[in-house]
Amino acid sequence: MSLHRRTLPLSTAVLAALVLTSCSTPASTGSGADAPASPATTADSPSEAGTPGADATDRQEVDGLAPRAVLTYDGGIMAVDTETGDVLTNTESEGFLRLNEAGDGRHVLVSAGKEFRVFDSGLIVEGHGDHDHYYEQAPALTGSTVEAAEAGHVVAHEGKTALFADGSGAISIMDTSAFEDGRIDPDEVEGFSTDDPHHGVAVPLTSGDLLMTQGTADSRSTVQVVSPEGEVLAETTDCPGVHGEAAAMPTAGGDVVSLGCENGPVVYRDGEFHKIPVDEPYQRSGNQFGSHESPIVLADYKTDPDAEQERPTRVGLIDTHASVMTTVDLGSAYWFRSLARGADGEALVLTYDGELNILDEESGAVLHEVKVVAPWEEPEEWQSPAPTVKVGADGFAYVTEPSAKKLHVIDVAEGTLLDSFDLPETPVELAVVTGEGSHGHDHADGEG
Amino acid sequence: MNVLSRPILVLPVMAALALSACAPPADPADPADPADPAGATSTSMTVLTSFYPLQFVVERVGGDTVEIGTITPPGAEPHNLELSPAKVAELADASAVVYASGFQAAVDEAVEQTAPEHAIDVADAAQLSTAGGGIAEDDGAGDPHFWLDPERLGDVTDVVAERLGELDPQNAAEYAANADQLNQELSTLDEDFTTGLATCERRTIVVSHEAYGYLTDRYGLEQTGVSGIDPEAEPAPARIAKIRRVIEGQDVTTIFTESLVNPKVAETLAADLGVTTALLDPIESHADTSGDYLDVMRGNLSALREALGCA
Repeated sequence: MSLHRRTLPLSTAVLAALVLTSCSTPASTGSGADAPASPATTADSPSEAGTPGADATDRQEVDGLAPRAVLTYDGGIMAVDTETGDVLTNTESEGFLRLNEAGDGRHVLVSAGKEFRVFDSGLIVEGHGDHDHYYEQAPALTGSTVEAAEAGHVVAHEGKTALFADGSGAISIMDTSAFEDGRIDPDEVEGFSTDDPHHGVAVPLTSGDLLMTQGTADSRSTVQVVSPEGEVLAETTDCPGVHGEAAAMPTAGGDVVSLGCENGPVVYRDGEFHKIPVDEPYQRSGNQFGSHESPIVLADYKTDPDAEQERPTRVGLIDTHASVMTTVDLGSAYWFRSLARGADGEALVLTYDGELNILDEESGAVLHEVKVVAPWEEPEEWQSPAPTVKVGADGFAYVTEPSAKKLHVIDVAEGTLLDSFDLPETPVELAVVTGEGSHGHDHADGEG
Repeated sequence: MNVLSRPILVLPVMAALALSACAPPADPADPADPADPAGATSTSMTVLTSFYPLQFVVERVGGDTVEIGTITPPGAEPHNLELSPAKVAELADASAVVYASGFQAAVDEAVEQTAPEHAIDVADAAQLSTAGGGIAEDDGAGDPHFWLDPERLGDVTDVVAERLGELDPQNAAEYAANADQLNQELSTLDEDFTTGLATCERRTIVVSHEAYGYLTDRYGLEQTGVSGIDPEAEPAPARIAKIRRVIEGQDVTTIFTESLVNPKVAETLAADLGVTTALLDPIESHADTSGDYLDVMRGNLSALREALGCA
C-alpha cells in the first residue's frame, strides 16, 4: 500500500481502514486531474523547482561505476557507495518516504505524500561510439517534483515511466529518458486519469496503449488496456482487490503483465486477460516480481482472508505464458520487501531464517541458500524497517539488515556474500542504481 | 547535507594534472632553422593536427617544410577535448587543419566555424567502421581508433600528402616522397604484426578500453572490454566479481590497461583472478617523447605477443 505515513503506530487493521478513508477523500492537493472517465485529461503537474543536484560542477570521470544504494530512514534519505560503503549524502526529509527507480539507471523517485521527488544518484554513463565513459557526482534531490495526490506506484517499462497518484487517479507518463537532466518539465509529461481515485497502478505498454486498474477507494476489481484515444481494448472485471503488478518476458503478441487479485492472479497476454487457476477460494499475490528474461513471475502467496498478518512460507511462481501457477514452500516466512529477481530471472526470497534463497524460477529448485542476515520477523506495520532485497542492473543482490544497520552485497550467480557495510541510520526502503537502465519492474508493496 | 567524496577519485585526476604539467609544452617545430639543409623550401605551411597519430603523419609527410601544431595537448584525453577561443583562432589562422571528423566534437565544430577550405578530414580515408564491424553511419558513431591498423594509417598518409601538395604545390613532390617512405615503414610494421601474431596460444585480449577493434580485425584477434579497473584503487570484492564474470570461461592471462597499474592493484588482480596486467597504448595521445607512433606500436606488439603466447 503506498500510503505515506501520517501516523506511525497503527495496526494493520487500522491501517487498512485508513487506506479506505484516505483514498476516498477528494484529491485536493493541487491535482488538476480529477476529471473522471476519459484518459486524456491532464496529469498532476510537474513543478518548476530548481535543480541543485543536477549541475556538473563536482563531476569526475571514473574507470567504472560503483553501484549506489539509496536508502530511506526515519527522517531522511542517504546514498551509499556499494563498493566502499562510503555514505555519499545524507539528506533530512520528513514523512514516510518510498523509493522507486525512475528506470534510467540514475534517478530514483521518492514518493512523498503529495508529490514525487526526483533524486539523482550521481551515476552518469555517456556513450561514446565504441565505448562508454563513466562519471560520478554527489547524489542529491534535484529539487524537481511531480505533484501527485497520494503519490503511489511508479512503473518503468520499456523506456516509459508511469507515476500513479492514488488520491486523484491521475497518471503521469513520461519517457524514461526525460529524467536525464534531473527534472521533469510539464511538456515532458503525458497525463491520463482513471475514472475514480483508488490505490492503483498503470503500465505504459510498448504498443503505446496503457494498462491501468479501475476502481474506487472501496472496491477495485477491474483492469483495462486503453488506447491513446481512450478506447478500452481489453478488460477484466474479475480481479477483486487488484494489487501488485509485474511484467514478464513478452510474447510475439506483445507485453505480458501479471496482476494480483483476491481470487488468483490475472495475466494480460497477447492482447487479452487470462485468469490463473488457483486451488483456494481466496488467493492473493499482492506483491509480484517480474523479469524481462523470464515468463515466470515471482509472487507472495496468501490464502487467509481473515488474517490480520498472514505469514506464508510458500511463494508463487506464475508461468505467465502457460497461465499456471506453482508454489514452492521454503519452510520459513518472508515479507513483501524480501522478494526480488536475479539478472537471469532467478527468484530471490530472503526468509526469516536469514537466508537468501536463490531459486531457479522455472523448476522452483533452490540453487543457493546464502546466509546473509540474522534471523528476523516481519514487523507489525509495513512501514517499519525489516530486511529488504533489491537486485541491481549489475546482477548483484543488495540486502539491508536494519537491526544491525548493515547493507550486504551478494553475488547471485555464484551464491556468495561479497561484502557488508555499516550504515549510519536504520534503513527502511532501498533502491539500487548502477548507471544502467533496466528492463524489468515489479511491485513490492505494503499490505492493502 | 553531508557530502563525502571518495578521496581515491581525486588521485587519477591529480596524476593526469601532474603529467600534463610535467610534459613539455607542445613545441611546434623550431621556426626556420637557419642550418636547414633544405633551406630552399623554408617553412611555408603551418599545419594544425587534431590528435597525436595525425600529428605523427604530418610530421613525417611534411618533414621540415611544415610547421606543426597540435590541437590536443600532449598527454591529454582527446575524446572530450574543449577548445579555448585562442585555440579556435589558431585554427582559423593555420594553413591547414588535419583532423578526423566524428572523433572530437569540439574540433568538428571549430573547423565548421573557421576553416572549411583548408581542412583535411581523413575520416573517409580511414574508412571508419562501427564497433560492430560495419561501415560507420553518418552520425559518427563509428570506432575512431583507425590508426591502430597500420594500413588505414597508410591510406590516411596518402590523403594527407595529396592535400598538402594541393595547398602547397611547390613542395608537393617532397610530400609524396615522404609519404612513400612512411608507407613503407607502415607496411613493415603491418608485416611484423601479421607474422608476430600468426601463431599464438590465445587470441582474445581483455582490455580496459575497447579501442582495438581495427587492430584485432586486421590480425584475427578478439577483444573483450572490461570496465572498472581503476589503476590506483584496489578493487572491491564486488568489482573483482564483475571482472571475473567478464573473463570467466575465456582463456585469458592478461588484462590490458592504458596506464600503469599501481602494484597493489595488480597484486589484488593476480591473487583473486590469476591474471597479470600489461600496458597496451591506444596512442590517442602522446605524453612520452621517447618514441613515436611506430615505437609505441612495436611496444604494443611485444606486449600482445607475450600475453597471447605467440611463437
